[in-house]
Amino acid sequence: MESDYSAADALTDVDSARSSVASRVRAPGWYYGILACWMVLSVVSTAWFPPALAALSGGLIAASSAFVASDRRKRFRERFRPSDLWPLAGLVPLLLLGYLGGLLVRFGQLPEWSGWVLAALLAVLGVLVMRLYERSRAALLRAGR
Amino acid sequence: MEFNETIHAPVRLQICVMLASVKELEFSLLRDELTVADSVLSKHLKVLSEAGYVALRKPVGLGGRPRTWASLTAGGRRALSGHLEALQELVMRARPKPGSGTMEA
Repeated sequence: MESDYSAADALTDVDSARSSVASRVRAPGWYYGILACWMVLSVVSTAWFPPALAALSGGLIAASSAFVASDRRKRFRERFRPSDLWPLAGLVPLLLLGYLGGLLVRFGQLPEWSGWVLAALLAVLGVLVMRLYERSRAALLRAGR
Repeated sequence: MEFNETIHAPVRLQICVMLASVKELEFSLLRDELTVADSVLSKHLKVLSEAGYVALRKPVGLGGRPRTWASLTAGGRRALSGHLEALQELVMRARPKPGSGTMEA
């Protein structure tokens, strides 16, 4: 029965099994893009946007985070436990720092250029935190739990 | 480099390859990815476990229900690696040599 299963067929199955696992492990690039946008928006909206627009951008961050969480559940079939989420907690202080930095720029306590530097720095740090989380998740692949 | 009959069965080969990429995988995820029935997957995991290639553990999950997690043992990794090399070798040998005239242009 298994003698019909040629080496070439087996290698094709090997490739398909590898890509199947990879799709469960890798987060899509747009997760990181959205995250970088959150960080930049937190600074820029507080520093330069009118208050109504700043509030709107806060709503946008909340809505997109709910969207990403829902996409993750579908994509990875994750059922989060609090202990699985600890690296993501690192994003909260980064966002708060963004809002604080934006306020300081708005009220003239920091030069305008520093707002942009802070936004870029937070975007990089945010992506690094997310990457750390994805790596820990990929190592354990807790999907389905 | 050794062809391994235990690993070569299609489902078992895919199980080993999937487990080789990660630390461990949960039973239902393996079943869904391989699109096989629970009983089929259980049977193959048992064979691999008895051969010492796969380790199984059953921690209690969130709902108090035990879930089966499978991981590849060090011996399983070695066996899989040797088997994959053997498969590559077989494919290379089966490939017609250039100028042998077995392939038409």
